[in-house]
Amino acid sequence: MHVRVLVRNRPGVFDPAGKVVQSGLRRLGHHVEQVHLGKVIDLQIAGDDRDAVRAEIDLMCKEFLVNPVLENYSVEFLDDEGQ
Amino acid sequence: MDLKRVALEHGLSGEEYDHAIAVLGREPTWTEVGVLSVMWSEHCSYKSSRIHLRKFPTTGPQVVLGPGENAGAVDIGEGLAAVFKMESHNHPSYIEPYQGAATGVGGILRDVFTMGARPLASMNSLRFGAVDFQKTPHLFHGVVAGIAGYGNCVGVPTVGGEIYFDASYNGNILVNVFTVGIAKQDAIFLGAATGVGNPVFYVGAGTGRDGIHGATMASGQFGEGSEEKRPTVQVGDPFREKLLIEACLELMKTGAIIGIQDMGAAGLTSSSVEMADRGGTGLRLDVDKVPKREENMTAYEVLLSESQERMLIVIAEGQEAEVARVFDKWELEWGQVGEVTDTGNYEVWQAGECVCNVPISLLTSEAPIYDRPQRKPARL
Amino acid sequence: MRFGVVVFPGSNCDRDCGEVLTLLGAEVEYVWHRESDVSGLDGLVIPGGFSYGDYLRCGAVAKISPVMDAVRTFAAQGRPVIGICNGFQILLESGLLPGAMLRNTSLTFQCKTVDLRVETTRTPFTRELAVGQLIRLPIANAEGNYTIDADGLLSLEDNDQVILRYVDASGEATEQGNPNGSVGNIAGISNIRGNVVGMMPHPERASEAILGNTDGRAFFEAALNLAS
Repeated sequence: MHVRVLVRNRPGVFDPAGKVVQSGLRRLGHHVEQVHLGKVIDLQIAGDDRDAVRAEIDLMCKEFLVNPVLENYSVEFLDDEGQ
Repeated sequence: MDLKRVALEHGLSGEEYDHAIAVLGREPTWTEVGVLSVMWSEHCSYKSSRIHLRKFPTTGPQVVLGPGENAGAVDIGEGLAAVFKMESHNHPSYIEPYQGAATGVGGILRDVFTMGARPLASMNSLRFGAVDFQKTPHLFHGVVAGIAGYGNCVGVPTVGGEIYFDASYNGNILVNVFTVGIAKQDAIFLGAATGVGNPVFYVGAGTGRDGIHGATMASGQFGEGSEEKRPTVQVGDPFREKLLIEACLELMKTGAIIGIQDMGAAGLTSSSVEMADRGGTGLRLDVDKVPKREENMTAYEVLLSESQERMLIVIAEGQEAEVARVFDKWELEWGQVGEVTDTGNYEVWQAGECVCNVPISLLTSEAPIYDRPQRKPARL
Repeated sequence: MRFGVVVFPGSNCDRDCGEVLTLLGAEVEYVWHRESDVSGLDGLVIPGGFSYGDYLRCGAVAKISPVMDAVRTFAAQGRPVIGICNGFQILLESGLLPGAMLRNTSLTFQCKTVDLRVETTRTPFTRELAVGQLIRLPIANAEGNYTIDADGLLSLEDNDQVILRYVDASGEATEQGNPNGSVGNIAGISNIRGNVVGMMPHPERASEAILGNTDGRAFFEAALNLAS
């Protein structure tokens, strides 16, 4: 199964990189109201039980991939045929 | 709303709350409860330590500036002074080791350059729990990475430090950070708000809800499901700090600065109150003028926020344009947020309403002082 | 001679570079990143540091600063430009030098003095050194792992564009002597013309006797002598 975990700062947590990228875009003439930088973690994981895989991903995020003090995450199941 | 209960949740004692009422001659406002609780907190007032801190020596032939300002200064010859300070950031680092340590470095840097000294080098003194204690690796790696990440990016080298591991620190690590800078002895800047009518400027990064503690958020203030308004851990931006260093040092050369102080623990409140206290003056603030990065912030939140990389500057009347010139150049936020008054009070306005009006002395010199019971530990 | 040191928000080696140039007799102008005219200068230094906090990618935001157009024109005229550390990263992002910079293979910030071998003397900055000369310079970076595709690497070698290589104590470009995994142990390169140079080590931190190492001085002296 191919799963995508998107990690981003929790709302309200300061994103210094987002601010700098926003001013960079503005300098190039693109007026964007907000920019937030996050992380894409693509996982290829054995199994065909979505619920079980999801539970394991949640555990991975809790133990390692995500800092719950600062970050939120979302999980997306990509095309099961493989990307 | 039961203000006394709220005050207790804020960490004030019943006696302290009653003392405030006695001095004010009335019940405090919600914002005033926040201001009192933070100024009377152990961290800001040192109420349990003051009587013992007085026992330390503070004078000597090389002391250019002793306690009372943001850092100390020592004569190193040739008309120069070493300006330095060490501070702890233990609890934040226990919760979020990287940012706790990083913001500790940020704070100590500001305490040095607010005095007019370019920071030259940093050091640290760390204590972690036992090496085989389950939490130690996470805390150790986070703290070291935070000190390194912030220090490297801001451009001030970390030249040394010390580290010990002991089980006695399992439940409470120690993260002490130190910075030293150099200033000309005749160009040391102090943090006093003087000159009635002088404008007060806020510079640096916008204010968010960083560091406002969950316990102080009464359920009446926020609806359920307002995850966005939950307190957030302070995130440091060393890039912004570097810009702040350069902008402040540049502004200092213009002669426009009367007094300058960084915003650290208890943010805008502690710096504005302390500056007025040192100046023997009062201060009037308009939170509508404070640059913000979040919407719908209450005065309480603006005053207590611990957003990083911010300074408060009292400017000589007539020289306001210098602030805009320098801080626009360095692409930093700024706002003219108030003025020095002669009322001796801390007066805060929002949307045309006065939300706080308390004597400065109540928050500083008349803050509680305690002589806690002492006892020699059995193991000694 | 008047040399410019470009200052971006976040640059922090600008004053060190300026100090060394001044010591060597040059007039130094600190060029703010918003300036668009560098025509009156004899050489340009793009110093190290953390321009824009290294946010997004190292050097990525600096490359769109107004001054870079002026730097491009200056370089196209064949005048000397040296990018040090973050300056090298900015030149790579700008396309003024080929290739790119990755994270050190150790995944750590490497802060130490390394052994280097001079590979060419055809640039303004290396013309007073000797091919094969061994020097030692400090490095301080987390992204010093230079990379370029196979064709690019061949082109660099064919055109004598590699100026410095990391070597071991005996002067050989071995894996052991490579602090960050950079391809071919490359520590510095030039453009085809040879007037634009990028290097990860910091020569400005090894130009004064008081710091214990003056191996870096020749890089600046050579460019100043050429200009005068």
